[in-house]
Amino acid sequence: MDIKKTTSRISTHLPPIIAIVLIAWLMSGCATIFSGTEQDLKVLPADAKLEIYSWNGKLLETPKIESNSTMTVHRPKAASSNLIRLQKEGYCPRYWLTTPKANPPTYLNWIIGGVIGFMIDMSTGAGRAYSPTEFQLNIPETQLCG
Amino acid sequence: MWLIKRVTLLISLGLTACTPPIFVEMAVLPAVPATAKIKQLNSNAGNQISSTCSVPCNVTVEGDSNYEVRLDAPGYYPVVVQLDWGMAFSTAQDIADAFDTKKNRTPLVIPLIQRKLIKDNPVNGYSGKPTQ
Repeated sequence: MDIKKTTSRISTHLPPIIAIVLIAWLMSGCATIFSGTEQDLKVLPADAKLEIYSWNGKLLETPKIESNSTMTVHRPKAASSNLIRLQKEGYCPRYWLTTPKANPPTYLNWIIGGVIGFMIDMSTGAGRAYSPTEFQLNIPETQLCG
Repeated sequence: MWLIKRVTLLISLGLTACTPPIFVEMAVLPAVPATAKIKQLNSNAGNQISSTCSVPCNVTVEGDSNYEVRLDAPGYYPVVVQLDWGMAFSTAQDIADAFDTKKNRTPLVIPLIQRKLIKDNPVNGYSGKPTQ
């Protein structure tokens, strides 16, 4: 009797649960699911200050070092190139223009996510990645910085 | 052989047509007198082509070309950045308001750091706003 009831409950509730899980899956981009909207960047020396600027000079983010010279930043939401500035007292500051790259998991949308998946990945930023990912100050200020 | 040459020529012409030059308008923040030295790193002539201009000025970024831009402003640390057509193109496409479609021009604003003020005021009070 109990088994029958349980089976009946499962058969009643399972399809909506499966449907919700499927909708949630389909409503998310592959890169958003697999790699998230954040990316690790490596910075040397570890206590250097990294700032991310937009192409037209707007300060977007000043991430903090989390551990072992690694800092977590939000993946770029736009396809445009950003300017990364690294500075630390005693070193000549350095600048990099990033090259917008696709985050490889976003290509899985060709198989399961579809156009909606691509759109979600692009809107959350999960579909993109900063390149380069390692930034290093290597010229001491004693060399007069060029 | 003739066909291969024709196809190669057509592909080359197509690629050239698809990669129009983009004019990057160099500017610095704060807006102080600065000089930009632009060095083309992969010129076809084999030599590195260099030019100098007073900021703000335009840098013509040709398709499939890499450049090294060095900015010097008295009292500020020099800036050296590598720039290529892909960066300028994707930014121009993405930042519609920063892209003058008639002139294929997009502004690149570089925030400078004043010398010997890193300890006291690391960001120099930059607002981060473009100078336009």
